[in-house]
Amino acid sequence: MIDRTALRAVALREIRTVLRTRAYLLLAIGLAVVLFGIVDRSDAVAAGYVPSTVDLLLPMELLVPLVAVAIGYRAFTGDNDDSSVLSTYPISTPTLVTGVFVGRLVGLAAILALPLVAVLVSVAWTPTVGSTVFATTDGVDSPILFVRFIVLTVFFGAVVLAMTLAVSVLTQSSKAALALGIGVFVAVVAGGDLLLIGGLATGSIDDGMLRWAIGVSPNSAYRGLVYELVIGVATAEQGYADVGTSVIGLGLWSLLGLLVTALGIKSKRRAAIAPSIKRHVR
Amino acid sequence: MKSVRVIAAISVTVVVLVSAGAFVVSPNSSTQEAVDFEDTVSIGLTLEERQTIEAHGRLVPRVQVAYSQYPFVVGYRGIGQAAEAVDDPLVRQQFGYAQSVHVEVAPTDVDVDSDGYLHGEPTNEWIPADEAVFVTDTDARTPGVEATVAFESRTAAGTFAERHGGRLLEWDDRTAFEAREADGAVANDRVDAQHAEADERVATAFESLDRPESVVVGEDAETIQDAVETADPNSTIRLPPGVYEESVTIDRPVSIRGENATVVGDGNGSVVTVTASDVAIEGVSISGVGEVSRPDDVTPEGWDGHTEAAYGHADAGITIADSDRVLVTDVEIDTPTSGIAIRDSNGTVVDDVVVRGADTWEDGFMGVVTVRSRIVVQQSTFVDGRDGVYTLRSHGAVIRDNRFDGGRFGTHLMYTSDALIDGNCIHGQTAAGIVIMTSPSRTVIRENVLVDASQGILTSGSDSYIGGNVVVASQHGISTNARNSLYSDNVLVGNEVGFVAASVVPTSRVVNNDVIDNDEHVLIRSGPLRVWSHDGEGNYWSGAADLKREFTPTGPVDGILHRTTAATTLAASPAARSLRQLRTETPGMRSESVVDASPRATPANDSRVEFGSELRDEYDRNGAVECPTESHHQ
Repeated sequence: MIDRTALRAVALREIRTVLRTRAYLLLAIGLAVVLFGIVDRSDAVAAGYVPSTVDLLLPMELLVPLVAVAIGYRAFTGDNDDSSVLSTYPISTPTLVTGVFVGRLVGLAAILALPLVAVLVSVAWTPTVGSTVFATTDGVDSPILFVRFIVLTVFFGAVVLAMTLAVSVLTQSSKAALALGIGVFVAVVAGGDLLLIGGLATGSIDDGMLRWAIGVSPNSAYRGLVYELVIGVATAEQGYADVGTSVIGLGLWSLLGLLVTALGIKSKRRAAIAPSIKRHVR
Repeated sequence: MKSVRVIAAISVTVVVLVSAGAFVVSPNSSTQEAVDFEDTVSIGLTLEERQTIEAHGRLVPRVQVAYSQYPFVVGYRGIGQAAEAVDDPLVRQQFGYAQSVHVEVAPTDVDVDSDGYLHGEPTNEWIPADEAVFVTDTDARTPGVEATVAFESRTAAGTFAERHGGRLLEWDDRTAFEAREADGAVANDRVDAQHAEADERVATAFESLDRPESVVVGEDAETIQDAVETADPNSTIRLPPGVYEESVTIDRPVSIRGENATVVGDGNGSVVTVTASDVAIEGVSISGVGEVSRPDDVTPEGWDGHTEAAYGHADAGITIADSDRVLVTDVEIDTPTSGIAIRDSNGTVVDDVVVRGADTWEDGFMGVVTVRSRIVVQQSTFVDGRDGVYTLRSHGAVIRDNRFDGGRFGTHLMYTSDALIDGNCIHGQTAAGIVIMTSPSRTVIRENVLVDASQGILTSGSDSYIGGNVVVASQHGISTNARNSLYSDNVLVGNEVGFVAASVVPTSRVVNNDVIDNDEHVLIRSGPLRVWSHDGEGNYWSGAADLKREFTPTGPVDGILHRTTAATTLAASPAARSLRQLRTETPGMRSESVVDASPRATPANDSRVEFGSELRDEYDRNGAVECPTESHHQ
């Protein structure tokens, strides 16, 4: 079903597209500036990896969907939306969707991870609250925890990317794709959490369920994982979220996004072929 | 092309391995090694207790703790102390959980001395707390509490328990270890009792004034000294109005009662020297005091000898030595050196006294200086000189309802625990109003008014209560250096800096204070982030009344909210909000800031705020302000 050579070709083409688009470079630089600004102003750089994670979590919840939408919303417009090209692509729909997703994800991962890795390096290089008088300890703090944060952040980005691909394929124009992309952004940033809050308010979610229910909202799942696997390690508190449910929740959202994308491509291909058949018959 | 592929494949593999590895590897695997105790941020015991322990070769078992969210290793003197700290919710909030706990192994020859204190040399050998065997409920003591001792083996612990009693326990049983029950609230609870006890001492001392008159100077005796020598014990010597040019030594229990009587010394030594208990001096003015502040013939003895020699033996208007229950009342003293020097004289009462010292503090000395004496100083006035009241090892000193004008320090405590400084008005000092040095415990500083007092209240030590004070127009209001203490209901108005935070181990509660119109509400000198609120109870900060959110008086934006409304606009920005977000999650690792999670919407102490604001306004108008005349007690 998936042709590996074709997959590689599509993915590499997408990576080249990302590389060629100067705006993405600016996006990465802008992100790095914002992240550094935050951890520098809050002294988290000197405080350590966990404080840096604490400080970057909220900004990342907003910035990751933003970057993912920016990377993904035109994936199936422009070149890729040329119906005649699509219809004559000698590759299967799953190959095409996976290729586009993987290629864009590599770009997204680079844009998200490189500034975070830079933060990690600068935390490593900045001396912690030092003292010439007292023995110091790093407490429970480790670059490992920050690597976890980076991985979780990229994972979260992948989920939003998959959802964005789905809306991008459902629309005809770039403008419409942008509008729907913003819709994805709002839904991810606020929608899921509002549903959870509503659920608590109406009593359809009780406090015992909340740990699992959190896995349903993508950004809450992300936040829960960061709390549980990064911040909670330092504070020795657990129970912020059920890790399994959150991971599965995020995984299902990505699969759903990719599935909708594939279905969308399929119907577009059919629509592109149909008029030519009609013409042929006439 | 092939090499590019190989590099790509390797890179991908590395990224995948690192990513997956981050979740597999435990970040907890590195354990904190024990360090030299000298290198820890150490707490527990007053400086005096530490000096005494060292001088007697006594032992206080020690513990060191590395917390998950605090950059320094914390050392505790006393196992119970540490046990209590690691389970304290306030400590947990500030420092995280105890990541590693090491206890010092007791020396093999650990013993109990004749006074019941644990005896031995500290080993500075450390083992993890959960590998140690503890002996508690023994007949051995350490200062303030029954000793808990740690051993490496059950055999060693058992041997000790056989000789000195006690049960063998483990670290997990630590709630059974005795710790000093102490914090600022506990200190405040004893105030009424301490006032009552002081009232009793005052009443006892005043009984001396009821003695029958046996000698009138000028009629029955030529000089006061003659009168002292001829008077019946427990009788009164009357001084009719006049000037008496002599120095007097009172070595018998008599009362000297004057009326417009002035005693003028010859400018050498003390004018009146008391060497007998139950002496009373009333209604005299004293001048002609000698100018020697540090005589050469005093040989320092003991660990506090040098301090005593430096401050306790100056020429004075009245010197009281080795004499209990002495009363000095309605006395005025003009002195280039000390006013009243008190050494080893418990129950001494200084009441309604005026001491006028040198115009510049460098030329003067102490208004009242006390060494190892339980004293009451009340309703007196100290003008200029060096320090108004200076105490050395005078535990339980009560200093109340006095007025201090000028000088270097108003009240200055050295090695003095359990002091009560209440209801004083202190103004115009060049260095500080109330200064606590040498880490004493359980000091109470309450209901004082400090105006233009430079450093206001400088605290030190632990388990103290600093409450209900009003500090106005000073450079610094109150320093929060005393640990494990309660700072509440203070009003800080119109100072350059309200609170100064410098303690490296912030384990105090700072709540219900009103911090108003200071140039800077909080100045932070060192140490980690502090949370100055508790259970939804915070402080009132002018400029932050309508916040309804956590407030960071040390922050660049919050810190100027009371000075410019534009700061409110910036504070509402997403950037500022996200910087604020979750700051208190890992407070111990962050440096130098104060967060009030529940700032008050209205002042906590209305009448005090009104009073403080009036003083400030008066000060702004006139550049000076008088102390109010009403007193809080008696």
